[in-house]
Amino acid sequence: MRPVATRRRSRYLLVVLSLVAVTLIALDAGGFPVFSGARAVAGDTASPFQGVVDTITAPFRNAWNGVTGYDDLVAENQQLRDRIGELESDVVLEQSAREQLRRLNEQLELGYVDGIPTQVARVSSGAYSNFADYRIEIDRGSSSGLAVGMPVVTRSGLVGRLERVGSTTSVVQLATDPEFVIGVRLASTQDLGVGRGAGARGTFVVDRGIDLDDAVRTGEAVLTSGLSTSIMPPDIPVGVVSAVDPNPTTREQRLEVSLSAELTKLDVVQVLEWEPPS
Amino acid sequence: MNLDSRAVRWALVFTVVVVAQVAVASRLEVAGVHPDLLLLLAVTAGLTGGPARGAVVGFAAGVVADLYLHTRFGVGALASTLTGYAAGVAGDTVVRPSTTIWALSTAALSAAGTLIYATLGHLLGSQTLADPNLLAIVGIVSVVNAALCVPAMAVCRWAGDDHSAVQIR
Repeated sequence: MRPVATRRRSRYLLVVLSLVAVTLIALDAGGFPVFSGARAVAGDTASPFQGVVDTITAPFRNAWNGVTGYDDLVAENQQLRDRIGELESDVVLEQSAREQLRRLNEQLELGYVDGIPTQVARVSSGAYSNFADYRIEIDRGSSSGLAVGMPVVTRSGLVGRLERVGSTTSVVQLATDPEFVIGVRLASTQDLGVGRGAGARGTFVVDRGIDLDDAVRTGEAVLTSGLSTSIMPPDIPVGVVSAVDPNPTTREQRLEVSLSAELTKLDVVQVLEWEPPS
Repeated sequence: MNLDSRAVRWALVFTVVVVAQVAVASRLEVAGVHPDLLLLLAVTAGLTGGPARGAVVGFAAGVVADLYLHTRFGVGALASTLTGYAAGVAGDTVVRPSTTIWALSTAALSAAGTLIYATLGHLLGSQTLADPNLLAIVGIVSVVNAALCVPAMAVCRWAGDDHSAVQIR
């Protein structure tokens, strides 16, 4: 048993350190910019170590993930087999669908990333936290001309936006983050709404702006709205409506949207060098 | 051993642990969960060095973790400080040290540390307690940390100039 004075000193230390930690939380909540800069520097500092250790440990990590992820591989294999079957049946409908898509694109003048310079970036790491934090890190930063707020996409559609930019790395806030809120537009009706990430379910919801009277079908394409105050350029595919939930109380419909981009298996992304209006 | 060389050894330990966490452990997943070496450091520092060292090392480990997390800065520091202190108190109560006791203590304290972090994060709006993977995270982090506790405690004794391995507290 430690002496009373030592135990008292330990308790005093605990209180002081806890108060310092609470102060850090309060400062960060107040938008104190130092933390963002420190995190960017930490990301940049870790990047070379990651590269070296990645090269050395790749065979071991692959072996480990192959062993621990065997069930996932089996399930994924089965899913792919099912998908092949679906695709084979879809071939019959493909020509019709292609023509419909062409007409839809003509009507909407889909200029997806047309005219906007892009930077290709590799996803350098997933989340450091075990808890879902809806962030990934990419291997491009301000030295490549990137800036906070730039949209991040894949060929399939919207991934998220740059939340923090270091010199050589950046952190992307994913579209599944509940704090990720953007204006959206339904492709066929041009109805405007507001959507946000749906968190742990890995989807996206549009829960404001779509009236009960608006006809919305499942399978409807959802795009970024591109209004003048939007944080996203127009016409980036967000996803397709997978469920429609009318709410008589608010007189609005809640749309569940399956994201076009597969956010859990990102490898390479494109950053649009487009900054939201200030 | 003077303070300066002890500080150098802790700095070395932190550097190695951070690189191991960021570059290796974060990518070794079991059921989508990876080891939490910084939490392990806080726990084993407390078990070997007592409440004061547990709190200080926990705070430092938490601040380092916060640099790489995307939750509110300071949440990891507060959670690790409390966990490290609790580990120190728990370590002081152990009368007959054995590998089994240390492993069970590390598992329980790692589970507590993970839950403290989740609770604090949830209180600040991160929905961490509602994470569908919560039980898996708590379980896997606890088991992995328990498996690594013996070498981790040896490292903490070396860094803290604490040769209590043969002491009976």
